[in-house]
Amino acid sequence: MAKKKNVIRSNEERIVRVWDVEQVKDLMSRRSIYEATGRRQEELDELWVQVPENRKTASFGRNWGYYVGLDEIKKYYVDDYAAKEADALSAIGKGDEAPGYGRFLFHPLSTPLVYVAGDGKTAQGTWYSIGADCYPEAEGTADCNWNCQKICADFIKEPGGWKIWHVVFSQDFTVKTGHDTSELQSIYIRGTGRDEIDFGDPTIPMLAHDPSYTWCDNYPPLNDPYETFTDEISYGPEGHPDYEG
Amino acid sequence: MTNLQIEHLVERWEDRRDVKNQMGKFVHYLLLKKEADMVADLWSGRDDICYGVNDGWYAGREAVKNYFGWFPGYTAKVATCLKEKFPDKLGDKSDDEIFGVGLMEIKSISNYVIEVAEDGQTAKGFCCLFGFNTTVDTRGPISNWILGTLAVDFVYEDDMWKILHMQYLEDINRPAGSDWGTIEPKTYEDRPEFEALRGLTPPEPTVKAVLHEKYSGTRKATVLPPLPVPYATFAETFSYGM
Repeated sequence: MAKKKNVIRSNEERIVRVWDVEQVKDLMSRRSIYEATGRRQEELDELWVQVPENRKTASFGRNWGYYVGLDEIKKYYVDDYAAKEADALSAIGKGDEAPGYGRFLFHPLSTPLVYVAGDGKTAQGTWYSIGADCYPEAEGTADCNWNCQKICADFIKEPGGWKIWHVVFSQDFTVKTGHDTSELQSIYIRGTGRDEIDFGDPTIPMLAHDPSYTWCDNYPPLNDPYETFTDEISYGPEGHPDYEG
Repeated sequence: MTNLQIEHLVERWEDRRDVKNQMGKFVHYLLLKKEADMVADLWSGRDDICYGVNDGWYAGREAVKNYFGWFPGYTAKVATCLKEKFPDKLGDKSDDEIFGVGLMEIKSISNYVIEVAEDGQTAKGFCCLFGFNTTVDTRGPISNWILGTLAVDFVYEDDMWKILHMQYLEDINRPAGSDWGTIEPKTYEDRPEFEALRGLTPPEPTVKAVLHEKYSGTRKATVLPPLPVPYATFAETFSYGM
């Protein structure tokens, strides 16, 4: 017997929405592989929003704030990252090596929760990632860390298909491989995280996700079914309860 | 959209689901030590199937069968060895009952990227591996963290998606509880009670080649097989095979 539904959709609408969810998951899976293989500029060009209005409002959130607008995101995620990586290689006597030397940033996504808006124009998703961040050291050894983080994102359907609009990486902890998680510092100290040191100040500096005591800071919150996108539910800065825009 | 177009989209969605399931079956067969059934159940009946690992290819049906066919003998010998070591726990069990004891090959997969050809005859799947592998050798049981990727070509045969080519590539394969950043992995001493397991190693790839370098602090960069892209027929896209 068919289930009772509040919204009746045609078979055509239903299969399109099924495909929308598939495409959103595919998009985020691709994103993590682009990141792992150092294809950061291609990621922004191919997977993120391209419509000018959406480029302006695109955002990349980290624990310490939001980079807003695709130009700012590029500065942080591509240009500053490349400069810092080059500096880091020089510092260990490997300045002649190409980008990616000795690095392994592997953030596979699992546990997907994706909803397409009732109006079909946007989508929201939540994933969890247990991955690794490894960096080269001077002696040929490496600084290897587990990296556990919740990743949430807004997507918007553009003429070129579904694109990433807002992303938040809410990192719960990193801990060196082979070490006990009891060694984790219990209180988040601003400016001490590896990524935080590596990258410049965000457009909107704020404590977006507090991993202190590894408690359940429910930001970003799980996405719920929704009819149409609003700032209140955004995974951009506007949706953060402490945003003072 | 016509009913035909709707049916087409439903079929393609079913193909994606089935391909994903087949990749899941592959890793579950590893966990359940069902390598003996692997090729017959999951792989294409063609002679040109191939299985790639970090240091080469098992090229062709016989090579792939020989590789996976090695594991049941190893699994049985590990069980016999452990039965001798733990007679109070395992002594009254039959060989069938204890097949797989001591081994635990957990390779969960996620982060799927899948494309089904427009002609519906082939598909490509890419996913990440995350888990650990507990093996037993002369040093006793050792668990290693495994991080890597699977890249697979599928072909539709006998109303099922079957594996045509697969690359199983590891970035991390390091003892659990140890720092992966050291140049040499943590070492373990041989233990006399496991001497019966000496010399048990799987067949080498039939075609030696560097498909993928494991991670180290001196690896040039993380290079992975290309992600699947939309395609019409297999002839017009790249292959994950040799």
